[in-house]
Amino acid sequence: MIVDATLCYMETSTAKQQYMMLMALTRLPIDAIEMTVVVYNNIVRMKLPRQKYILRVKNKYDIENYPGFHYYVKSINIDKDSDKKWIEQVMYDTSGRAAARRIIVIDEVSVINMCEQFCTWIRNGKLYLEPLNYIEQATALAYTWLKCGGNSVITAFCGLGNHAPLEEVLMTLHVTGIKRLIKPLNFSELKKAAGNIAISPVKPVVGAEIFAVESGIHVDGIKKNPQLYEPYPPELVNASRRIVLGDMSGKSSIEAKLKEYNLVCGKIDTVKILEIVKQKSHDLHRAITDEEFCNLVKMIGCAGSAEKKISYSRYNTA
Amino acid sequence: MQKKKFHIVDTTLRDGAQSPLVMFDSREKIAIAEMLDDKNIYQIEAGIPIMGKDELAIISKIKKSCFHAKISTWNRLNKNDLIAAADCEADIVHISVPVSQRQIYEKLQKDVKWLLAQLEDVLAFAASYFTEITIGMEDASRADMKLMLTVIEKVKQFAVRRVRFADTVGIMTPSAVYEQIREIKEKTAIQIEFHAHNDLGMAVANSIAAVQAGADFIDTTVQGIGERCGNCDMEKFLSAAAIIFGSDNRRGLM
Repeated sequence: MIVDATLCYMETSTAKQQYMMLMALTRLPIDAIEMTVVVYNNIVRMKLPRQKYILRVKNKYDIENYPGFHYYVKSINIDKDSDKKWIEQVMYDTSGRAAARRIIVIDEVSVINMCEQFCTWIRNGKLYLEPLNYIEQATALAYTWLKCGGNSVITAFCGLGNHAPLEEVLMTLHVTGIKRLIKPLNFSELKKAAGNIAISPVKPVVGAEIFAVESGIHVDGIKKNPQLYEPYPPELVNASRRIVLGDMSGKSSIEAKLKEYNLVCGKIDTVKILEIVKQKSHDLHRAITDEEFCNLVKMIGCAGSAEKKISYSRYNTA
Repeated sequence: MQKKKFHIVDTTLRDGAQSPLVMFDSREKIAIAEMLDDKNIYQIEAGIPIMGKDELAIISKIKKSCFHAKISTWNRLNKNDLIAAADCEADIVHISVPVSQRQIYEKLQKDVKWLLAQLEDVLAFAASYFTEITIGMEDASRADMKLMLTVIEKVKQFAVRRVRFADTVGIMTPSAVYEQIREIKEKTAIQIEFHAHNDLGMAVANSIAAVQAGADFIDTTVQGIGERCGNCDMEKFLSAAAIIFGSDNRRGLM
């Protein structure tokens, strides 16, 4: 079970963005959505979809003021410099009774060190795990918890609030076969809703350039079978693969790009084109664009419309 | 706190440079190598000699510029790559050997019998040129353990003391890393170098698990640059290792 807490870190966003995020989250395979009282007050007038909700409250008395949530949990300030490796919290039901426990894993732990502890916690009853990511262990801890039979983990989109990134946990569960996705994950609405978050182009699962490939060895492999160098098909996250031409390109990359744009170079050797591409890339100190490539090969005598004829994602079947 | 010893193998100039989002000119490559050398990084994977004379020239310059770090080159399993590598006088020659069925049958378009024969042939050739050879088990995370153990026994016959376990497509999880590296260590006693990719956001966690299982070397890149979602980020890994294993390994020197 995945509880997503992204909305807890969007208190300063507009109500429209908060609602957009809520709706986008409900379209993903998650089981409950956690939000703060501030966010709830902003969006309560809009129609909230049927879903399990957890409310993060300032104190226990708020429970009476906001009835009807699946669980309530108190906000706490985390002191990451404390000696504690984890903090235990109580989760309350709508009548204010302790209904479940939550453990926030703060620091200094690795997955291998925690496996035994996880088994003990799991034996002791219903527990929500909230691993924080100060030393890059959160996704691994969240995955391992669920794999060991743990009930629930708390995540947030792109790791907001130092949480295990929702997208990484979902994809890991799919890739490892613990919980297969039944349809592609669409993160575009989440990205829009989280407008002010800078997402690295190489951010796992949601980065814009994670399926771009330049190295000649990898392009050659991908032409034979994309699975050789991809952990999952780009279509699974509504992305597409893209060949980039630059100083690490090989002959395979040139051949693929010529085919992609239906360019015919007759007797002009691919090796010669590769040399020109590498030189241009060196001169520009970056990869060259497809438009620059098409202009370049036309200048040396290649013919064709230079209109994109095939998508590289279809290369293998084209 | 468990004290652990490991070496850092930095591959910023090889796997990192394969990221479509970065491009280093020769001046930048040498500057990066010098910075890594100043930090006492154990080994710098400086490039791929078969890429051509420019790459060869840069690797040779890096070798001359670095006083502490061992300089290595990345090569495929063929003699032409090694002939090119011989020209740059690197300390270590690394030979990448695809070990998953997928890589052997679909990328190389060969079979296991061919792979083992080629390995023997290439290593016999390499042994006469190079004093230190390491073997990379490409796509090890999707490979059959039995074949990996066969490859390791074969390379040990040629005095190879270290193999790289490459999670080429970044699909491993810490418990899988731990179990597989433990098994290899127990059955072969060979030194293990772990090479992570960050496709599921677990490159650092997997590298920590590798050290816990007995890996002796961890591959990293500066700022985690590399193919797709990148490799194991050196700074993040060393920070995590310092907290989990104690501060002795802050720089991965030992």
